[in-house]
This record gives sequence, C-alpha cells and structure tokens, in this order.
Amino acid sequence: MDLKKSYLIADGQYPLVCTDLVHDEIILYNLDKEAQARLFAEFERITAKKIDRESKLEALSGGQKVVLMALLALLSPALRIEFVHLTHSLDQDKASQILDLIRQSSKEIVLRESS
Amino acid sequence: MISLPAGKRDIWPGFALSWKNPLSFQMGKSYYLKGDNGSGKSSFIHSVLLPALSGRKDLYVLCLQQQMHLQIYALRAQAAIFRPGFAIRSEEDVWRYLWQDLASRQDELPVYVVADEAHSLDIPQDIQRPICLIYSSHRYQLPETHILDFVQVSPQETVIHA
Repeated sequence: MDLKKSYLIADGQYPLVCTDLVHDEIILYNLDKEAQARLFAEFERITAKKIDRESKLEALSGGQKVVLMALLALLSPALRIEFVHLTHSLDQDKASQILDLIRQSSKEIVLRESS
Repeated sequence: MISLPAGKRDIWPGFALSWKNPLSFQMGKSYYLKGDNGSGKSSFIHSVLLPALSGRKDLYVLCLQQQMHLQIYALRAQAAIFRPGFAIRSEEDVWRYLWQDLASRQDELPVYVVADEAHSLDIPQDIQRPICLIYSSHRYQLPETHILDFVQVSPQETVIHA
C-alpha cells in the first residue's frame, strides 16, 4: 500500500455505514445508474437474493452485507481500494466469487486480513 | 441444559427456520452452527437461541455479535467507568474483557457462550464454571464439536439438521 495515495478503505468488520436502505449506501459510494444496475445483478448472482434501492439493509445477513460492501467499492469511482477482513464472514463460494471480481478489476486493490 | 422443541419458527415474513428433532445444548459441549451466508445462522441466534436464554437468573450468557463495532463501543464505555485503563480496540479485547469480568464474579453459575462469526474462541484455562459454546464461523471448526447444519431448502425456509 502506497501511503502517498488515497485509498477507499472497506472493512468487512464494519461493512455498512448506513442502517436503513440500500439507496443510502449507493449515495455514499457515488454509484451511477449503470453501476447500480450491475450492483443489483452481481449481488443476486452471488447471493441468490434480490435487492433494489429500497431494500432494507437490516434484511441482509452479515455475510450478505460484506458482499454488498465489496460490490459497492468495486463499482464505485474509487481508483484504489484497500479491503480489510474481506473474507472473514464469507462462506467459501462467496469469498471465491468476490475474489474473482477483484482479480478482474482494473483498480489498484490491496487485501489485508488483519487490523 | 436448554432444549428447543422441534418445530418451525417464522423469523420474518417470507423466511422460516425449522428443525425436526429437539435441539439440546448441554454444558461442557460445543455446538457449531454451519451454513452458507444467508442460511439463517444469525437469525437463529437472535430470534430463537438468545430469547430462550434471556431472563434466566441461573446462568450467564456471553454473546459476541458478528459485526461487533457497536458492542465494542458499548464495552469501551463500560470499561472506561469500571475498568479504567483497560483498552478495548478489537474483538480480541472484548473477548478478554468479558472473560475477566466473568472470572471476577463470586459464583459458579454456568455460562452459555454464543459467538456469531467470532475471531477468537480461545477460552481461558482458568475459568472454573461450566461452559457451553455455541458458535458460527467460516474460518474454523473446533474438534469434537456438535454440528447444527443449516440447509436452505428454499429461499423461504432453512432446515436445521442436528
């Protein structure tokens, strides 16, 4: 990690900042409409659960919140991301799918499993 | 020991947990809640298990939340009053703080440890009271643990096999 650069830090222990709607997190991550459509599609592909802007965040399990956080970060305009504790709460299948997306991403990404 | 009679519990509209045989949790044993993300493990803990344990005067419940930042804040505030100098920065600190608090109590009541995706399951060696450990984790499974398998039979229902 280059300390002279700015990173979006996404911590799996604190996956979501908001407590109400998916829409609130989308605003925080500054996702455009195309990114939002991809967010919903990827989330359903990985978790088999449908969400939209009006979905309640409290209806997601702990692992699903981490999946949502990872997708929000990957689809955000951020050029550099540091993921912390990303796979801690994920089952093997979901961790593998998220790591695949990270490998395919053109962003500069750092993975860290400890604080 | 606590026992949950067989049955089906509606967790929220459109999702239920069911189990065909009574689920028993005995002192001196550990129970591993196994299942994919979204299969209902945390819902089981919060909607079924903890309500069954709450209000009991004959036992302690030591609960570690899955995403525990709020729990860390709460215990940091408590420690600031009752244990000044005890720094709580991480889940490991919370774990250590709660065990020390329990060790300081002058009774021998049993404790149910409920850990939802905990980082640490290292129970201090000097704890004398009876312990029943109920935990979920995607990282590790303790040896000689009883498995409760959470199998999603549909998006609306998960069946727990013990």
